[in-house]
Amino acid sequence: MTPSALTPAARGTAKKSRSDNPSRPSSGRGSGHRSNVRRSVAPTAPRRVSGPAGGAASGGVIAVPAPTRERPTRERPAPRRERTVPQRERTAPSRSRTSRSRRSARSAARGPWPLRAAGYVRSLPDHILLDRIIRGRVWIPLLGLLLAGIVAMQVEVLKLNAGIGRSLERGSALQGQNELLRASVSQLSDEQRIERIAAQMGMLMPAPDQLRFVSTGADQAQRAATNIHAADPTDFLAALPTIGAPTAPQGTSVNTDVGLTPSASATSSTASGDTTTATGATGSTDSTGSTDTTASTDSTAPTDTSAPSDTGASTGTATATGAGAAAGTTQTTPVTPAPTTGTSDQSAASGGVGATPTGG
Amino acid sequence: MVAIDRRVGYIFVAFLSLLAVAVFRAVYLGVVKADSLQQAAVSQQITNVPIPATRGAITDRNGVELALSESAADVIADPYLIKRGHPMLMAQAMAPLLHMSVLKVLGAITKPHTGYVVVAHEITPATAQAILALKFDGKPINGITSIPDVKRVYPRDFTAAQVLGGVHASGAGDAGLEYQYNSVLSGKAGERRIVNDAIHQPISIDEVSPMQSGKTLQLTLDAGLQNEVEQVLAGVGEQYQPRAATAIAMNPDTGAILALANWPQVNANDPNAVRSPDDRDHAVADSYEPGSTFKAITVAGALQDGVVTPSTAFDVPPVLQVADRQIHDAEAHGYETLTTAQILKVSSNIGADLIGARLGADRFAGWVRKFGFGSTTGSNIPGEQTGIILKPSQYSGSSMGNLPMGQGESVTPIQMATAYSAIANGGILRRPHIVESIGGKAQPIPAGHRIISTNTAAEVRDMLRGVLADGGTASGAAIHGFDLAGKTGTANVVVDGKYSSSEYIASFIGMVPASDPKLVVAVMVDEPQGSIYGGSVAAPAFQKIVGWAVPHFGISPN
Repeated sequence: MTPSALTPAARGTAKKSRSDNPSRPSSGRGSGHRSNVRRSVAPTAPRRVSGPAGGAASGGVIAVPAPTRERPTRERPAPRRERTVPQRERTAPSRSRTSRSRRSARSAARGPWPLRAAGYVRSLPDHILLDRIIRGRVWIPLLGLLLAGIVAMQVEVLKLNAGIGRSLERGSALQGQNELLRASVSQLSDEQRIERIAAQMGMLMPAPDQLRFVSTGADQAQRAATNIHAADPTDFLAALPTIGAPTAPQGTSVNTDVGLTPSASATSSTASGDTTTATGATGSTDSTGSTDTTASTDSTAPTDTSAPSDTGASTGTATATGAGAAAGTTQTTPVTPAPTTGTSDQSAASGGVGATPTGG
Repeated sequence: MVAIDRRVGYIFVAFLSLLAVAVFRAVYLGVVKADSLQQAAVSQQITNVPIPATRGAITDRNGVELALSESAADVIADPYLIKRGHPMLMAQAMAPLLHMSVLKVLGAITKPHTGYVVVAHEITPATAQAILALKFDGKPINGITSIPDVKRVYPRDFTAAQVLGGVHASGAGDAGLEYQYNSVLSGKAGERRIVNDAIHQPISIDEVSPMQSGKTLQLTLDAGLQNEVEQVLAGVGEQYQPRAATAIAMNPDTGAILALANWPQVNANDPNAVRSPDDRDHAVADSYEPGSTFKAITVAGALQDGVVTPSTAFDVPPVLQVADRQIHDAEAHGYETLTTAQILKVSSNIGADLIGARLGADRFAGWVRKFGFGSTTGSNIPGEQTGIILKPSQYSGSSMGNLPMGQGESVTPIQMATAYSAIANGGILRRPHIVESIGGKAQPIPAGHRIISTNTAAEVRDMLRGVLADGGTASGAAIHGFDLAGKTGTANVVVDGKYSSSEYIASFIGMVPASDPKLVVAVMVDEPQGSIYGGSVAAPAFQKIVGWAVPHFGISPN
């Protein structure tokens, strides 16, 4: 099976050789359809002729049917005849198919667009451009290019896979780091830890009865807002040595940023002398609201001091030790609770517990 | 021309020969050695790596991580392969990285008759990588592999340890919420297929099955309050050396549990501690006789049924004879007249029995059930007990002598907190819940159902104010400026079927502000030493918790 037997070029060749055959005059042999077919494939005839004839030498003028028709007819009439017979036999089906497809294409060209499209598709194998590519040398570099492209694409796929692998590993590593950081954030935000640090800095949590809630009105919200300002830890830090806290070099500023400064200033009737922030830090809403509330949450020291006996001594906030101490509170004993204040419990103790259950 | 053709022929023959050799070799490798080479290729080039599912985190209501999973790795040794190399050198190189002794590592990697030994469990991935990067004689280490794993971490160690529970070595939850919500938290492990080239660089990675992370479980707990409550209980534990203590803080309007603490504390990161008896969540798993805190339930039922009012007066004798039992008050007294409010204020046992007698056994039993006793609250905390509540048909002649004052029934702390929440929120019994959202999807607030009227609830709260007022059993727990209400309880512990005269359970349940409670706190101390009364042991703990929580949550105290 030769390629020419299958390709449209071969069909074109067959037609051309048939047309070159002087024993078969191209003009008076067929119907109008056939002449049309020949006209449509006409470029193939001069192309085949021009190949061996050296189109370049002829200056590119290759569509000269008369000499080419005469030359083979005169020189080798017999072999041509012999050759044309099998060629004609071989190409007969393709010729009929071509003509059929073109007929259908033409008929489709007048029909609705699906038919036109189908006709166009059917005529593609006979397209002149395809014919030229297959019969020329262009396909060699084209094929080479395609092969190189395939190889390059495989290489890229491998590189991409390797990149994906690295990305996955990196993603896993980052995820692990993220988990560690999340755990670290949770540990660092532990209130007990902050309270311990605050206690080391000399700050104590106010006892429950040392809290005072002040009523605020809507008109005070604006004043409170204007009084809100960035915390300035310098005063507090400067006061640290005086309140007996350990000098806080590094962590101090961090913790003061956490919120100790407002408390310090809130009660700063003493420590910092900045009394303006007492209400400004908070007092906005009635429900929550007061400086004391925030002051207590900001401050940290664990303590739970037992001693709520200093009621009224503090001015309502008692957070930083310096403030509390200055205000006269005796918040000195952290940790141990001393709930020995039961009233009726003590009386109940004397009431005898006996077999019957005690009261509350 | 002929010579050229011959040379071309020689070359052709040479190529043909080479081709024949290549074909022969290919046939040999592809047919004769196919199986062994295929196995070698699969083992050397293709690796199926399991991707352990990342267990979902457990956070508090504000997103503070209480439990999360960290990447880890197990180091696996194949002693069969290691014996061919340099086991001693390997042990010496690995020991410092694993913080193990050389002998221990050597013993593991040369364990006889096995090809799989876990040398180290749940180490950091960086350490595992460092071990795998070890080289001997310029060659990578042979016989040591690393399997990715996930390690469960509790960043705050002790915080809510009994509530959170723990996970088994397999990664499945085996206690607490880790167990209860294991299906939600666990996720689904995946698998990755890695094809390596000759220098062990991955050239192809396929996700055979994708890993699905577990969902995040956001709790209603507030980490700050939880810490504070645990700290307060630690103080109680240090001072009174009880057998155990527990405290619950709830939002009565929603039933959300804001804090649930237990003492003794356990470290959630210590697997031995987690599986110790101390790991029990006493708030749900322990039943106890509530004592006087139950009187509020008796009074609420009686008020709702209209058999008493807050001002109804009762003639309270020094001793009340009920069947074969004599009922005393904690404090000896003569004949006196007490109103319902005063009965609660001074926690009169006899007075509570008199109110119970007006109510009658059947109605009393009905109210006990209506307040949710005798069944689990539905909090979804594993291990919750129902308590023991007698049916009226099971009452003896003296039952109504002790049931109204809180003896003879067994309840859990969370049941008591839930019942008091109903009084606090205006009469609606709502299921307590501890899960705020699952995977970011908010869980609906339990609807609840009304058990007493708003007026009745308000009247009970008003009477409970007196407990913290002057002359009340918990007056020492009052906070100036705070509108508090609550009830003390001191109950005998049953030992061998009899009430002990030396072992008690002290408790206090209160709310703030009493006019419109936003917080209910229940404290129970089991067998305190030194002092035994709810007013002196548990009420101060309530005071501290409330004193911290009110400003923390921005609750108006009055």
